[in-house]
Amino acid sequence: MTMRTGQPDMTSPHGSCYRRAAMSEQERRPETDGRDFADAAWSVPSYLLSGILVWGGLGWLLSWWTGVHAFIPIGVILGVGLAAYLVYLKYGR
Amino acid sequence: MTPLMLVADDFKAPGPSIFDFPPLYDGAPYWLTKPVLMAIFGAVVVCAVAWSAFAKPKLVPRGMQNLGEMGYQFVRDQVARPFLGKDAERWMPLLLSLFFLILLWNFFGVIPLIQIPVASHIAFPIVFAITIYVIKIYLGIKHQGLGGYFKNMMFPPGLPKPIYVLLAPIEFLSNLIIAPFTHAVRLFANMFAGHLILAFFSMVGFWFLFEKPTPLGAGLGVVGVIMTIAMTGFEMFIEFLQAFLFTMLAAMYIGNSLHAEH
Repeated sequence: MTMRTGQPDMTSPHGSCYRRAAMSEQERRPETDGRDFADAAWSVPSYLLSGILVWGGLGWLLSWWTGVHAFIPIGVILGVGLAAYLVYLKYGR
Repeated sequence: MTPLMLVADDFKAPGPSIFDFPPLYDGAPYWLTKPVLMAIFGAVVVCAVAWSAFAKPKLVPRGMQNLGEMGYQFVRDQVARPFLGKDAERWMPLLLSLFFLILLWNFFGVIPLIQIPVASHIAFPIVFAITIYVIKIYLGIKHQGLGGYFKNMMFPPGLPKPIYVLLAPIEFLSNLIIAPFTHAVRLFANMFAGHLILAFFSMVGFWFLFEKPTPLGAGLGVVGVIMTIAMTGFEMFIEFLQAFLFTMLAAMYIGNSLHAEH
């Protein structure tokens, strides 16, 4: 296949350099693995931050309404825990 | 007080003000500053390079075409294909332009006389991040349907219903607010901090060797110069890495919109 050798096929107007047919399963698999790994690596911080913001924010609201400040750390810890669980569900299973 | 202490008292470390530029000339509009000029210049250079590399492709590539194809293959094999699979070629024009432009804008940080990474002004990465964000949502709704897109995003299958109440808000915030935000901030913060570090060490070298040279301060000045050189090398690595990451994440967001995860 011309793609792998570094010599693009420029002979036809629709050379394989620009268009190409569907990839074989074998060709595809390592790339899908890479995708999963990168997805996980880049989503984890985002999930953790979101967990803290959503549930920590709810804790903050509760503490504001009730005057019990303990709701803030409870919310933050719950958020981190839930975010970690979500990461496990999506990438760890 | 030692001589070192004395001069160190007057030393002013460069701060965020080094990112403020006046208008280019008297009577210029307030927005027409050096970073804006460099942003335009970078875009023109990328267009020129792409034109000279790909306008008249030869069977045996040489010169600019060689360079362009090396860049193309790098972006296609390392960035596009892992995330887009067989759709990679369709998205190459966007990803290649994005990568080359951000790379050049970043390298402006270490090119003598230019010495300002364009992305150290957050407006520039924000425009890119918003563009990718709009594309991501448009593609997601187009390929998965309005309901399907949000369902796939917020409700990973196979969980008891009460769990979704806990997890869906996290997914929503993560995918629709935090992700585009960090997409822009990651590039901006790296360029901002890197430029500040370079400015600081070169300031140390300049101050203690030329501005206020003292026997004790000279050693510190030499450290400043050495660190400037070392950090310039490190910055070039970071500048490349951030251009790569920004493009990679763009490909990842587009890929996830085209095909629902799992």
